[in-house]
Amino acid sequence: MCSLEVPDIQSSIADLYSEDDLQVLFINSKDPYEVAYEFMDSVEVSLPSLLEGEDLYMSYPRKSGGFAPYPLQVVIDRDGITRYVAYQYDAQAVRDVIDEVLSE
Amino acid sequence: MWIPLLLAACSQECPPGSARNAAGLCELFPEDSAAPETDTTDTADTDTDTDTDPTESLSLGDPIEELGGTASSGTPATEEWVDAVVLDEQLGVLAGVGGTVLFDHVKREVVAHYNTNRTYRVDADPDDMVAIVGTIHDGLRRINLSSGDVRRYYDGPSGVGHADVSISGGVVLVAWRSAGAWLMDTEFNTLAVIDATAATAAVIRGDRALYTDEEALILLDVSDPTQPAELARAVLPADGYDLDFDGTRAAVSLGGRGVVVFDVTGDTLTSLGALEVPGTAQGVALDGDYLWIGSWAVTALAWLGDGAPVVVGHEDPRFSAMAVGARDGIALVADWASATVLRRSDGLGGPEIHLKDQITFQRDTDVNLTVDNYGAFPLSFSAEQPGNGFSIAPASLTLEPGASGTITVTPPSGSAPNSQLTWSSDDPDEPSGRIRIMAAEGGAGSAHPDFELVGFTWPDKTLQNFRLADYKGKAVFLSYWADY
Repeated sequence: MCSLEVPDIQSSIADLYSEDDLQVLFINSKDPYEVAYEFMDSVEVSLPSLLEGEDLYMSYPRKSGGFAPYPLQVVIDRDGITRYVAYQYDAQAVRDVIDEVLSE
Repeated sequence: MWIPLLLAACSQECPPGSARNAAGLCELFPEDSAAPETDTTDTADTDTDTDTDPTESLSLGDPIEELGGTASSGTPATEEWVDAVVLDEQLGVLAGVGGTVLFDHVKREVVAHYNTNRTYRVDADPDDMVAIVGTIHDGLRRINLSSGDVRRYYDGPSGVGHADVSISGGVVLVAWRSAGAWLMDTEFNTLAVIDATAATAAVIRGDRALYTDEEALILLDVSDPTQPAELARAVLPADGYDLDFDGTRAAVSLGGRGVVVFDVTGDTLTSLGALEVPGTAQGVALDGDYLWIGSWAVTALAWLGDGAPVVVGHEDPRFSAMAVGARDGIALVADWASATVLRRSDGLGGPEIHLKDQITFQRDTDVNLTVDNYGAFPLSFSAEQPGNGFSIAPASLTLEPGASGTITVTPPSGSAPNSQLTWSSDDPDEPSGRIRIMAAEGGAGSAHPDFELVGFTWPDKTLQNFRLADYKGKAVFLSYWADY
């Protein structure tokens, strides 16, 4: 259900910060442009949707043991340092990290 | 049943509702004896503005027990369960990528499998033994749970998935994300199209129904399903994901914005309060004076008994708690790769610790470890000094319900090895744990690889290049996804 959080990210994260402070990017690993566009059109989410992110997705350290549904969430600070990597979507946790990064 | 509790290091007396046993531990009064009404005045009334502490009539303990599941973390995922309904004391229905199943939640076995493609939502009427499922890209199905007959409906509006479905007494309520809410019969004849441009969640029970559009929760009189009449509406801060309704209360999940509970008596919508849960509130299930919430990261249990709802327990899922069905104290969790069955105890709440199991550090830089108490009772936490030259301060915390605390971890100077931190708490189902302290390499704490990818921004169709370096100076949130 990896596509479920896309509209929630709009309302629970992107809408709560200024565009000057936070950039939200969706990255799709393998779906072709048509599928990705049709999906964004269906949920009416006007945030960048990047394609062919498979290599980048595979470059993150793997969660040890167990399985998780597809999503991967990453927060990067103003200096380009990775500050949060998670395999489950937790809006509250993401907001906490963004708040910490923006207060530095 | 005697349940030993770990003593909080700071308290001398046993918490209300328990007494010291021969081993020196505090034990709860057994459920069948007259446990005194406990006055938890030493519990700070933090989040509610009512006069009485909503946990006043709860005893201390862990209210959720996991009875079992169909798969464990570490085994490859063969199922992807995303919704669940409990029919009765034996059976439930689960929906997922691979289809829909009739499930014996007592034996935790699949009884029957129905071939429904990429199923996203399910509801069932236990009196008629009929289930309705919504699928992604493949319309709706009606399943006769007694005979196994599956009927398909093709001609819906062309919204892409994300519909919600509900059924009661032969009437089906469907929420189409971009085409509003429709009332249909079980032959899929349309009875009425409710005037809405978008509907995100829906529930029908008897002659009342509720749905959410992009702004509000709406209550309908559907005693004549061909002429639905709006009775009340309440503005919501975000789109509804899921709804449940039992005739007197309604609960709506709002994703990252939590859950709101409404009193629906007298055909009005009165908010009883909002709940925050870790994760993203997805599925909700009412069960008497309790509410279960599936929020990916946890399955939470809230108590509605005294007016303002309060979370009284959490249970970690085996994988991801996508949705919950519940009835008579049993919860069936659509736990991604597992169908997980939980049971709740009446009248028990407890502290609920929440913290990471791994932190990463950079050379010569302190790391903050956050400890949350998501429960309804105070939490005591203490940690041992990690080895290998690391130090922590403070070494213990006492957290009121809903409060957070911070422990600062200081690595030894220069090139530091990995280490671990052992902690203990008075959370009855998480009395101890270990946190790995890892040097940053390739994950949190190190530079994110620069990338340049092609993409678009809806509604614009044109493709352009996006580079991470373009956003230096801003925080960046990346979310990976795939269509499924």
